[in-house]
Amino acid sequence: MRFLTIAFSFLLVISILGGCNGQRKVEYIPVQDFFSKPDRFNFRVSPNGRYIAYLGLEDHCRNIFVLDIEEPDSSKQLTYQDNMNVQYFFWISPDSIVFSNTQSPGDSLRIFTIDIHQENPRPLLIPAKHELGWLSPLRSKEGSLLAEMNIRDSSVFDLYRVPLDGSGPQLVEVNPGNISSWYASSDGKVRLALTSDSVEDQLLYRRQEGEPYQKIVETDFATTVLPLGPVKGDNAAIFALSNVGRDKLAIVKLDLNSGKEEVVAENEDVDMNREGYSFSRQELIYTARISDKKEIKLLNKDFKKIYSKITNKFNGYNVDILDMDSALNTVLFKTYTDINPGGVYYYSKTKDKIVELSLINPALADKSLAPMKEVSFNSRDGKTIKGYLTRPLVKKDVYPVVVLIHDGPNRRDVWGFNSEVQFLANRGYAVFQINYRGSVGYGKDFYTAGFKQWGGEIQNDISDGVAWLIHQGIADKNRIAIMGTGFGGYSALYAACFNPTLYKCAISASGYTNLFTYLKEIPPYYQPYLQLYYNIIGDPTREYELFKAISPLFHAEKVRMPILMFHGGRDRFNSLTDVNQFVQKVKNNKVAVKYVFKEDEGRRFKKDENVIEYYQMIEQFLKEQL
Amino acid sequence: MGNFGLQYRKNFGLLIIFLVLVTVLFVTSAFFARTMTTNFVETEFNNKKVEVFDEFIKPFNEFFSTKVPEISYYQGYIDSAQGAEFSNTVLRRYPFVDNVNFFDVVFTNRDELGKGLRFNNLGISSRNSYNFKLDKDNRFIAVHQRSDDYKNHAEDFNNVMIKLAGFLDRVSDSTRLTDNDIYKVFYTLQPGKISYLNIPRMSDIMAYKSMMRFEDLPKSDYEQDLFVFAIEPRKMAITNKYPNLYEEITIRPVVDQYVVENTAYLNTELALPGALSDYKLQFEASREFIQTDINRRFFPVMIALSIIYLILLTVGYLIYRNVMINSRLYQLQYDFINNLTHEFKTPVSVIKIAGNNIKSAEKISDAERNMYGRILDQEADKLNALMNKLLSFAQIENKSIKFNGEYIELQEFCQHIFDASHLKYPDLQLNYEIDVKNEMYADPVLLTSVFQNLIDNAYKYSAPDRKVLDIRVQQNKKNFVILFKDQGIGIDKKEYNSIFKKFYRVKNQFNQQGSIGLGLAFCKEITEFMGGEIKVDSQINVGTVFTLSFPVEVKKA
Repeated sequence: MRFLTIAFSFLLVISILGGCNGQRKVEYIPVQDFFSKPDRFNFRVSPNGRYIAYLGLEDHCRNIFVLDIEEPDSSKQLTYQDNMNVQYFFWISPDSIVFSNTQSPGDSLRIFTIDIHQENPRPLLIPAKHELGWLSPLRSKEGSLLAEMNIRDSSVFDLYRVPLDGSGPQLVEVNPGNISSWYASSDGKVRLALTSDSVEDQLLYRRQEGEPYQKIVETDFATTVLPLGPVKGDNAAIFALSNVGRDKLAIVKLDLNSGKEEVVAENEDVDMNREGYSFSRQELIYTARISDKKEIKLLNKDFKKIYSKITNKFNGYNVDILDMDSALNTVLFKTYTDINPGGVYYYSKTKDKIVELSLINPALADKSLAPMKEVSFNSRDGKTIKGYLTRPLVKKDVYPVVVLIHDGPNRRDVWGFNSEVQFLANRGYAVFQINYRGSVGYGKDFYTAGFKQWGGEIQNDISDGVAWLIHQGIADKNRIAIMGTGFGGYSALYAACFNPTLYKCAISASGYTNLFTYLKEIPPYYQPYLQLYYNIIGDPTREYELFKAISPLFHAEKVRMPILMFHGGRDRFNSLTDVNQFVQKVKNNKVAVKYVFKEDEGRRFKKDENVIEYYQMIEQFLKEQL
Repeated sequence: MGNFGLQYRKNFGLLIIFLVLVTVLFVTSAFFARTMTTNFVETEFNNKKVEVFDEFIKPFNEFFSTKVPEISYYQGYIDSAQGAEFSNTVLRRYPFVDNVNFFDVVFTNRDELGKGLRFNNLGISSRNSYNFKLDKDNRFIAVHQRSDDYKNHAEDFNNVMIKLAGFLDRVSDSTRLTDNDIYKVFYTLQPGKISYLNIPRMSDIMAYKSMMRFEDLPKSDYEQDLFVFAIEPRKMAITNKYPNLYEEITIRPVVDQYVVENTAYLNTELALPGALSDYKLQFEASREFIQTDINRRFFPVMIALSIIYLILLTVGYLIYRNVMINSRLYQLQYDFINNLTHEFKTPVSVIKIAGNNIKSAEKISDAERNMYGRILDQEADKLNALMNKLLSFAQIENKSIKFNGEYIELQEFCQHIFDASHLKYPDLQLNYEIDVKNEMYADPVLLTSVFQNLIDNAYKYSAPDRKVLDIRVQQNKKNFVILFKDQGIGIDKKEYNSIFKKFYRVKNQFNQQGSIGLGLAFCKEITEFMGGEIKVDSQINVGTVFTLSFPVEVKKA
């Protein structure tokens, strides 16, 4: 008996020790911790650098708050709306702000100005049902702002000056019909316009307002010249993002008289980012690009000092510069890594310190999350495709994999913190993201390689990536799911129809079921863009067979794998009739389909409770299927 | 109670009543079964038509709810070539679609308008229209309709568009397309015709609404597609799922002007829904036809009834047989008691006479004393033997006798019995022949009584001048065989089985008395008790052979 007692206690001790030596158990993090929304956002520095305005929640509505950096005690709430959200705002002068509470594109336009001292909002325009786009710089010049509005004709935007005294917009220039945007010079005059004629873009320049435009650059639909802003002291030169005559987007100084480019920054592998230009200083402060991680090249000496202070404190983090004033007194930035959601901070030159404004997903701050790693593989036709792989912390020989396809296709996945990826990794799935051809950021060739490849090479890239992952011995080939939103959802549905053996199940959120319907969504005043879409996807009248072949709706009877589908009633790229038909057809195959319809949601679920339900259902579905 | 004597009864009246009742029951149930089967078949005739209908309507429903909505998948992008391709599949897959009219429709707020309608600022016109059909040789024919052809189809076009305009009037931003809306607005059903307008997305519908209401909108064109399918219900295939019930299923116009001369014995009809509503399904069956089905269904019922009837009859017969056997047994027992009494009576009366004589004699001489003594002794022996026989038989019957087996040397054993028989029946000519190698295992006492019985019988049933008995004792591989062959009166073949029964006596002049009918029954019981068997073979007036056989190898209990 005594011997037994000793033996048992010995075993107990061993097992406890063993438990301590064994693998660290990964904590199960509840869904809401991944997708909690920050309660302060949209930070903007005032032109003099003294204030930071942001949106915060008050009375369940987004309202503007103003933070006084010099006298924090006089920080205050600026607007008091209790039934409408402030949609956006911007500083127009050191003391005043313009904001809008238009709720949706179909809502009437309501724009106000507010003085931060008097706190009394005044309507800037008579509320009306048209749309508006502001022109940079968003600063008052001679008491007015520049804007494009489609008052005259809903399909055409004309150029207006909007006086800040509320006296009503003044028409500056009638759009002949082909101008897609205007660009202002530093003196507030408009000398530059971009036209779009279905497949060709032209950059037009004139010396003075009123003179006729001269064509400087002509580009095809795959080529971009994107003006960033004027070069200081030279009305005839701008900084621009351009890939005219080269594959990758470079930052160039463009001479508007000759149309000649002088390259400021470029990279042979990737496009340059559209950041680093300061309108108020009319200067390129830095340039940035995303290779593996984000790489920043600093051009301004003052900013270099500030940036080194930031990187001292946040070593190894990605830094996004959000805003700064012209004197660089206050610099707003955001830091993060793949395993740290990070936060928003500002650096104050007068105080010489970094102050935290808001933490993103603070509930995840001290949790162990899964690192993201860039991978690359070759497609069947020899293209190098990049992607990201996030393995769960629990080590295994092979992992169940969720292939997460980004929307677009003209978007890309990047290295950094991604709630969705971390959520899936925390649940034990390796997450595989693929920047298939047609994704942006890897140059013109790679982008155009995705044209007319919906349901073609794009889908092959995804399949090749998965095959590669299996071949690498990372993926458990019997437990792979495909998931995505929008185009990603389309890819999931397409895979459900045509790749029955590669995947175990598919999850589609607002996936396009019918590409005929998708093309129908382009409204009449987007007719110039229609040709572009014909180039990207195809022409539904001429390439009718192609559309039939690549629209999941026509192939629903082939689906044999379980599908989880989400759709919002306001998703305009899908018609409810199509989705219902698709679900019904799949159900007729005796396949398990879970279909969640939220009437008042759009393409991406926004309401907290719907987002939580969305991920809970995904968790449950993956648990059952993988 | 006392009134009913306990005598044995036979009442054939009861049996006859039973027979009559069963027969009446049989006849009535057969009649009802027949009526019910008839009713059942007629009800089925009325009910099963729904199943035939379901089968019949399936392709139409598939066409209506699956194929037609496919038009909406194309979102108005269908042109003449695609329209032709779509129509071709429809025409070939659904033979009841007679022809297809396809309108390439434009919704516009421009001023110029071709063939079509205008609602305020919204013009709806047919840019092109085509008619598709299959000719006699199943070749696909597409006809582009000219303006004057168009007039023939303008009604369909206008109906659909007026309905749509009404819908556009009441639709608002918050409207959601319900299934009911879809059915009411985008489908138009008339007898023989289905019109289907491609269901636009909600945002398109709102765009049409604004085009209808506002003048100064940018000029734009939206394409939609309208298909009008002409339906010919008479070309729909009918599958007669119940060929036993329905002799003929036909598709007839709902309004049938012609008076049908010979109405079928049974008929029922079912109106067709929706676009088929000018026709109905007519189901008919003649009297002979339905009779066949009734008979087919009635046949197994009749068989079952007959089997029950036969079983009842058999039961009746078995009861009758039991009654007869019991009655005979009763008779036998009665005879037995009679015999037994008689058998006991003789020695008892002899003893009584002898006793009386002795009592009444004043003086008994030695010779008389001797005589009476012998008589008393003899009669007492007789009684004793009689009682022994009864007792041992009862014991055997109750299995209470014990088998005292031992090995018997047959030669010596037989010699002993035959010597005794000589003394008992001096006039019996007994020949025997014994040829055995082994000793037989048996109970000598029981075996003796078997021998004794058989010798007694041979003696008793032989004419005085032919009292001859041949006994042969032999041994073959398995058995000892003992034959008793006499030259007696013989036994009728019919009675072979009966003679071994208790109390049975063959009726002849030899057994008027002194027999109770137990001898052979006793022999059989004992022989079988000892593991052997007994057989008889006989010829009337020639002789009888009893064969005993006992196994050589005996399993000792």
